[in-house]
Amino acid sequence: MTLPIHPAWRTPFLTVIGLVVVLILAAVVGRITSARTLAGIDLADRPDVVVSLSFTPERFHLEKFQDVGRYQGWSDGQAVILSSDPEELRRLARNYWIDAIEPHEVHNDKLDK
Amino acid sequence: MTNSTNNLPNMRGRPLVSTAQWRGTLGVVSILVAWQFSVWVIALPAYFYPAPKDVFSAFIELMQKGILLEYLSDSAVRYSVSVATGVGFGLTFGLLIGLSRFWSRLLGPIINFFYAIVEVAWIPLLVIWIGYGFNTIVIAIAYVVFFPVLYNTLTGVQTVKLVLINAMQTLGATRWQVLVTVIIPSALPNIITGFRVGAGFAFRGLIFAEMIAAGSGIGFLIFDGSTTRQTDRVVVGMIMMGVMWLLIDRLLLRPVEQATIVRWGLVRNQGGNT
Repeated sequence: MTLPIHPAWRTPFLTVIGLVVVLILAAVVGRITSARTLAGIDLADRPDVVVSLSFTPERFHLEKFQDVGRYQGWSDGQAVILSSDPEELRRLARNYWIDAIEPHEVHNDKLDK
Repeated sequence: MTNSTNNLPNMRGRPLVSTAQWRGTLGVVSILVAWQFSVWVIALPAYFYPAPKDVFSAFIELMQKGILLEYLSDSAVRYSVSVATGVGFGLTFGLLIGLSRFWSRLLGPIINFFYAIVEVAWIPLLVIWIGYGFNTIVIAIAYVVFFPVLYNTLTGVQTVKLVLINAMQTLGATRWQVLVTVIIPSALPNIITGFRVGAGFAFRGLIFAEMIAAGSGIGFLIFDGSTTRQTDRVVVGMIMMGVMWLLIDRLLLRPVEQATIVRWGLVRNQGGNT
């Protein structure tokens, strides 16, 4: 089966199609990951959260945290964000470089134990 | 060496990997080997002259941290929007000035004046007016694309054979029909040339604008790497620039040429497999 387009446009056309498919898949996977990551968090009122990363955050990541809420600092592989915006938190949770997001209280309980 | 490995036939009997592709790969490998060898010989600190493995590690780290993908996507979006905007305005004004003496007299001197003011000069002012980020970069780059497209369109329109226009008008064609069937097709080689030149200028402009007026993008990656002495990241940024340009050339510029001016025999296809 041949595409009804000029041969010169075949590769770009297929590339664009491939790119669109990858973007759609990435968006779907991102939303599923986001929902799973934020499963234990009540997003109704601006929650305080702890974000875990497997690396030390750079300016790029800190700016993302600041978009979400009041970034309180980084220690032991975790960033504390207070009063986070639910929509921004969902957006943050879609990123593949996020290890986990937990409510701040749960995190404190774990530390107490 | 036997010929069996580099000419493995596929189902249609054509080699899967062409000789040109083998040569291209060999060129890249040679550069990498020479680079690594020079690192051993010169023995400078990694922050001064990073080795290929340092650059590769930086690439992996940037991918793992999610920085590179987002910067690439930011640059790609800025580039696409800017080129589309610049081509749109360049084409419109090129046709307007080329077809109307009134508009030519009115806008000609102004456009000539602004042509001399490079986009870099506009960026500080745009930053004050609009702030850092997307809009400033898009306006600056669209400005870069605008002039080559405009002047090439203008040249194309002005060099259309008058006899063709007269013939169409004699046959009762409207102004719109003359424009669509004679003027634009005749001016197309020039328009495509303007588009190609503008797309090249836009790419250089994008990297420069991102260094000055953005907090993300490949230009920013290079700038940030230089200020933090992470030269391996600078080199990653430079390689990404090259890769992006190759993709733009292969996926946009060459197909446009193939589908228009080469297809209609207006120029000879000189595109090798470079």
